[in-house]
Amino acid sequence: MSGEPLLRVSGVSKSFRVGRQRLHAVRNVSFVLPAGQTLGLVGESGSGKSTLGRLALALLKSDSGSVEFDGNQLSSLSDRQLRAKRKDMQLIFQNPLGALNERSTVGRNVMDPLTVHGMGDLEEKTKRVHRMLERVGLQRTHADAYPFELSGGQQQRVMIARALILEPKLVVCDEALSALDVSVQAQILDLLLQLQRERHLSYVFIAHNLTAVSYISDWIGVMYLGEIVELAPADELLESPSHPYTKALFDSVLDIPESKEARSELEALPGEIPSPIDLPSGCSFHTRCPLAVEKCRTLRPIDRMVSPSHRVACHFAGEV
Amino acid sequence: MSAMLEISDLYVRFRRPEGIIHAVNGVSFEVKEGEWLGLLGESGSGKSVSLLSLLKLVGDNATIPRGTALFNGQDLLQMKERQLRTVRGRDVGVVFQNLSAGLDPYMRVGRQIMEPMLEHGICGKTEAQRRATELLEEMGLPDPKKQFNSYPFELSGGMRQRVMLAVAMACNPKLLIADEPTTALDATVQTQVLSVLREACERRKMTTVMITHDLGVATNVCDRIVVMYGGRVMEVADVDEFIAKTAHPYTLGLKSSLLTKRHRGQPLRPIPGNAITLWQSPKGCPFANRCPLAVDRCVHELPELRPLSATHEVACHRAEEVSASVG
Ligand SMILES: Nc1ncnc2c1ncn2[C@@H]1O[C@H](COP(=O)(O)OP(=O)(O)OP(=O)(O)O)[C@@H](O)[C@H]1O
Ligand SMILES: Nc1ncnc2c1ncn2[C@@H]1O[C@H](COP(=O)(O)OP(=O)(O)OP(=O)(O)O)[C@@H](O)[C@H]1O
Ligand code: SF4
Ligand SMILES: [Mg+2]
Ligand SMILES: [Mg+2]
Repeated sequence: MSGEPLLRVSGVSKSFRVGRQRLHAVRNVSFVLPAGQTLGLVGESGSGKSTLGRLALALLKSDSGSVEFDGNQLSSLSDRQLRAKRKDMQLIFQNPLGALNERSTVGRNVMDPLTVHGMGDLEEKTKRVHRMLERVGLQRTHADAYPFELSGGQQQRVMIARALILEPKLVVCDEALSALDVSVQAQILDLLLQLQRERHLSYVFIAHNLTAVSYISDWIGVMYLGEIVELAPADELLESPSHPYTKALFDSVLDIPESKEARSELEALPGEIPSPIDLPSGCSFHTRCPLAVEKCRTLRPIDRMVSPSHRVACHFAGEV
Repeated sequence: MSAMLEISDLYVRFRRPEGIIHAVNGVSFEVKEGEWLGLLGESGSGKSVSLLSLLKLVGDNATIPRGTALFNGQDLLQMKERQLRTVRGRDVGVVFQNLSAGLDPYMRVGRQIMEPMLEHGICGKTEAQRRATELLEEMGLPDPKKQFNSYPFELSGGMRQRVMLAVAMACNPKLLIADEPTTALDATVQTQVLSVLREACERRKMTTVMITHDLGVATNVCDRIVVMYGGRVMEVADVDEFIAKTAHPYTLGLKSSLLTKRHRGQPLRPIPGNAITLWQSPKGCPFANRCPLAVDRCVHELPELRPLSATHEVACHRAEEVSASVG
């Protein structure tokens, strides 16, 4: 990937204990995110997107592999150093009301991170909060409101204000739009893009809305059962998806058709997603893949480069 | 096609501690026999309430001051609870929006599909069990005999949703109300559920109302679309007219908010502002404060639904102008 790397995730894995078994949530994942750019992560529910997002922010400890952020190996930092680094890495997630402190005003909610990191006196902090609220399209007067008095879209703006008040370098947006109406999703997406341009922010943008991911991302990673099965610049991935799962995923997006005759046939991927506790042999997608042959059932595909910055974990990538 | 359900001039209000919510404000539309009708609109527009209030499936803080809802010629709003109970779940199947409202976490899924059949005395236990297994198979669940005995938490989201469809279809209803049946699902799983649902409905010649906020879903599976905003119907159109000739500024705003692959690199044009909270029933057009075309008249005078063609109605004072400019 071009540009200075801000985040470098190398061979990261994470499994959870479930009773006596192990659930493999993220498996040997690597990517590099250049500063000022956005990596979109898509994939079925349970494919490991949120877990990967949390690993990248060191909110979860990986079983193996490493995360390098802004030149620092996160696992080698002391707790204190890590806490200081947290200022530069923020998380925005789906349910703003659950994430905000409901008993505090909007102003206090946005100010809290400044207080935690001991930044400025009250007057200075208040000024920054007001500026930030205005920047995300709210008014100063909203500072005195309580979160429940705001609409879902306004609450999400408060979350964004709170995440950005410390001027972070990296923001992980985990389903940050999912709870919002379409018209409001577009507003928030627009805001995220403007803020990115202004502040040279990097985003990891996780969403099950593929079109939102396509819109905002410079890079797209497609996850299936804990692995990134395809990773490419967004334009290239949209133009020539190469993993059979990626193809199925993008084929299933329902756009407004050109005409009644051009409507989707609703051709579904056969079968069900396998359990991350009892993973398939060989290629993890072979149980549902239209191209699968004997080799796929036994041999795990290694990443193939179909172009210099486009990698695909399929035995047939680039051939069909 | 004759009307299976005909809703006229429906009003629904909710008492809340802070005041009265005017959720539905004079809604009229019909559901024709055999069709797939899409009820489209953003959160709070009154989609769920317009249908579920007819079956008394909304909170008991609801009142219906006005309206009729003829189902096969009989007014649902005049029915006694006892009579309504025979309609609910037997003649009309409902797939609920709220996943947790849909299934009992402590009951095996097969049993939950048998329940409505037993409740309505459709058949005996052995037969209900046989039909439930058949339904699971029809819904494409792998190994239906085994799934019969599983609990909801053991299933994936997509499988749970298909179990809910099976429950709603257990008594072979004439009308199926599917409230956002795929909203919580991933794209691939959504396609699977929609395709299973469509086949099952076609096999039974079942009339279906699909409540959704997703333009892609509505335009790809429905025959006709009703657009709601602020507890009012904004536009009604056959799907081909909806695709090519929508003429309500709100519908156009929805369409331009929808992201597609084609948008990459293009600026977004979201509808400004937020949806209104209905502490009063709207005096003028409910969309007026967000509408780029609003004029004085829009604020003071409620636009009624007017036909633009035999199969296309619009509630906007400026519908003709919009229609002319859209082409
Ligand atoms: N703390 C945990 N303990 C046990 N299992 C977990 C834990 N957190 C996540 N998992 C499991 O790890 C897998 C990956 O979960 P994750 O939340 O990362 O998926 P996701 O792609 O974000 O899904 P969604 O789209 O539903 O948010 C899932 O099977 C999930 O059940
Ligand atoms: N039990 C209730 N008590 C009070 N208000 C209610 C109740 N049920 C619904 N409402 C209100 O009625 C209005 C219409 O709600 P409805 O559920 O029909 O919206 P919807 O179009 O289905 O939206 P969504 O996409 O969010 O499901 C909303 O303002 C909602 O808050
Ligand atoms: S009636 Fe007026 S405010 Fe309402 S949609 Fe039409 S132009 Fe806009
Ligand atoms: Mg997640
Ligand atoms: Mg609803």
